Amino acid sequence: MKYKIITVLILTLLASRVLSAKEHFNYQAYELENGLQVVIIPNARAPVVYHSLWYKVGSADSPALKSGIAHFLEHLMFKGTANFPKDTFKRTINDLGGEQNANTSWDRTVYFVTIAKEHLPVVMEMEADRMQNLLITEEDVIKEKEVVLQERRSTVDAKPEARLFEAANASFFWEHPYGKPIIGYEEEIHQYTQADTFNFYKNWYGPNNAILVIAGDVNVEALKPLIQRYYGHIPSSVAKPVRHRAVEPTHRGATAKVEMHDPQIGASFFQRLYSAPNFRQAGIHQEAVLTLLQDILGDGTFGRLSKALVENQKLAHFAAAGYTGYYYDPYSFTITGAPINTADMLLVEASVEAEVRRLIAEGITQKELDTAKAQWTYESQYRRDSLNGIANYFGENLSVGYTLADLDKWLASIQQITTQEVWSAAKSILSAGPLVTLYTYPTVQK
Amino acid sequence: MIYARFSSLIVCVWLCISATAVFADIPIQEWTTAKKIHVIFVPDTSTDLISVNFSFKGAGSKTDPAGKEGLTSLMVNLLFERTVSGSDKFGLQKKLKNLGVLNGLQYGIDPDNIHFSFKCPKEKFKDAFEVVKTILVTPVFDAKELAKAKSSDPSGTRLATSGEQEFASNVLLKKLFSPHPYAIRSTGTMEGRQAITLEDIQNAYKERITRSILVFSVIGNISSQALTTSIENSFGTLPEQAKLPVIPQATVKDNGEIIVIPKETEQGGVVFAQASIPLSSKDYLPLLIVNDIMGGKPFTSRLWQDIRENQGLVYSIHTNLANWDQASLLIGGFESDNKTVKRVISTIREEWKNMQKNGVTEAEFTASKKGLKGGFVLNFATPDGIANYLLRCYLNGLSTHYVNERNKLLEAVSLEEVNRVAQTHLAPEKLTFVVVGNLPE
Repeated sequence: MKYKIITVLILTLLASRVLSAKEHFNYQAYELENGLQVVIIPNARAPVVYHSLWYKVGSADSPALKSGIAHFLEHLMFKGTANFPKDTFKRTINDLGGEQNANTSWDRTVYFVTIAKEHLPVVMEMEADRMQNLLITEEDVIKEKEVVLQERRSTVDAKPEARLFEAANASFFWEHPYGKPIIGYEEEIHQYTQADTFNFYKNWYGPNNAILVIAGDVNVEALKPLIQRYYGHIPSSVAKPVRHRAVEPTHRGATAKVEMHDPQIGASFFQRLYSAPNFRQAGIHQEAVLTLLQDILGDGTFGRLSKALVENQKLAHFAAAGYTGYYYDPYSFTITGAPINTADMLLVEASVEAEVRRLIAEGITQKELDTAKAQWTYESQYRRDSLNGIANYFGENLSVGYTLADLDKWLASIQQITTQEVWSAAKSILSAGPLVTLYTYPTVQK
Repeated sequence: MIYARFSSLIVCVWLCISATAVFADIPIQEWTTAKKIHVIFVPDTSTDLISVNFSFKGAGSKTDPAGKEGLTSLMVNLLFERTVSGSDKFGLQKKLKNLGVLNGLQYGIDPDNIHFSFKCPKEKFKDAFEVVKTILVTPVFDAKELAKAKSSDPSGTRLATSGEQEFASNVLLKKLFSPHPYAIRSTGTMEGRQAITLEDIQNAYKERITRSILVFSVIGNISSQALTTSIENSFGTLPEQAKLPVIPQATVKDNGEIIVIPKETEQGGVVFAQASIPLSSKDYLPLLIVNDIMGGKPFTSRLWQDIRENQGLVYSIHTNLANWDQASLLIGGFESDNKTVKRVISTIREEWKNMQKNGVTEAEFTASKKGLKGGFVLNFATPDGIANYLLRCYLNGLSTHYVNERNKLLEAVSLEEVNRVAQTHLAPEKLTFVVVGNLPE
């Protein structure tokens, strides 16, 4: 699991992923008649609740020539309904001292509120209402496009690293929509219409394409009738929406190098993007194997790359690996290195390659495997320590197609993995070399 | 994501007292150990992790001697580098991670204080403390590591390589506070860092990392006795008394200027500020409401409504109360298209004038108070939140029992007080702006 918020900025390598067994979280899950999935995770530390509603639709589900419209709709969801017009939603939550926000990834859109527990019914009433009654005016569309363009300028156009990631993704995916930016291209944002947005909303938003995850100081038995009252009456969409994603064609040996030279670049680094399967393609066990490969090769503290390049050769600030097998569709396995001196970029990359070759030739040790596994036993404890941490864990995973049974099995699955499995996975992913490599070069301004 | 608070602004570790309300049930324990170390502790059996936050009060970057700006920051950085002979940072980091301290020992230096924190599984508590002890109590300072650390730029000091708001906030601090130490970011200046010697680092360590200014805030499933034992075993051998310079009150030179730093960029980054009042002032809570209505709250604040919702000129705009030990500011920031920066600035001034002259409405007042009160409890939803908030109270000279008083105090604030404070403390003519961008003639 894990997610990418709209600013697809830095390095997937930071994504640590957590999955864990049922007993750790003491959750309750069920489904309403209209298809809404519900997960409740009680935690009574403070009289606070975290209410999150996840729609199984993201930017990669945008129609042709409308890149980013899922994110645009996310903005418009705050524009009001007949029952709660204009900014009643925002204002009410604010006035009650709640915190609210939303974000869109390629695969899902989430709306969330943290608030004192006594206000939970108000949140549910308004959130349920905008699931089906959103009003979108021409004027809202015109104004909000300006806000989104402004957001794009701040988060992408003004940041050379973000522009480079956009370019690298476009090279990594010729056909699959992960190749398009989550926020959309400026040229296409200009073209959104009221009808485009409203149709997208009508196609994708409904109880049978959503997951409600509530964590916090709640009494489950008292909460269930409330959930039924607010969400239970919403009719499900006529046809359950289906994602139609292009299958990425094989690149048949073509590789790409993408560079950005810009004085605003904070640090020089390179990132190699290897093609890798995800949990739907390879199964959750294999996804767990690749996750351990990511740790053994690329953990920032005990990974092989860090040991070789940062500790021993002292050539790099950091060197790490990242694996995003928890996306809805297959994405990448990445290796990133940041040379201390920009001039050593290719030297660092060569050292990385040497480590990769050694891994492919020799495999891994039992000790490395045990160290990596041990981290995961702690992860679920950390996750449980915050309401949004635990709720997002469920929301992120369920919204891309993990089942609760998968989540319950994942940790156990990690413990069964053998050195041989990790070695085989390394050979199959890394032998072919990266499809795309990106490089950042800070240049000195005169 | 529908909004993001401007990130690089001066705000960093400044206190987040902008939250509010009564949550009376936190069982706070507080004591000073025989070795003079102050401890705030909240037992919590609902978690298997222990959150440990600690600070060296008053030892922040404001203590850097003139000409050696960046000293405290470099010293703390070097605690983590180690080397010289064998014992290196990698070994210690690995040890921590293997103990389940997944995020390692974290640190931060703000103008007033030095902060550390870590989180560990309760059964690894003693072992984790041992590693932290190695880092803090038996440091190794290495001349080579110092040279390496000095060679990197402090953040936000080069126009070409900095974010617009980050650079702008550095310029603004300089403008408002020079020659007070608050004029300079905690990471110091390039010249200051170059002048620092290994001996400076060693002395800075001895003078700052001491017991009498050390305060812990801990939450978790552990006994207070075991906590005291671990703290004393680990830190009991530090020198007791700190040797810190006396820092005078800062005068804020907010003269209403608009300073423009030209830079070829997609859009202008702007920060602005005027002098404010300390947390101890009786007007602080009324001003908190003023700020909340003006720009403190996303979505519904006047600036947000006017500038983002009605005019669509920004993606985000925000104001904040910022309080240090020796100065206070009302600050804000935004980014906008270069062409519209000036229009946003004049709108802000107009909003300032309007609220100063006409005050806030009864409805705004009621809503803001309700929101600030209701939101207070959100600070305590995680163990880290609780530990951090209590520590902040202590560092800011407030009783930790403030958490149980806060909403009563806020409730007692009247509309008349808020409007009086808006009139006396909002100073549109003093609001000083720094713009980094490519503004049209």
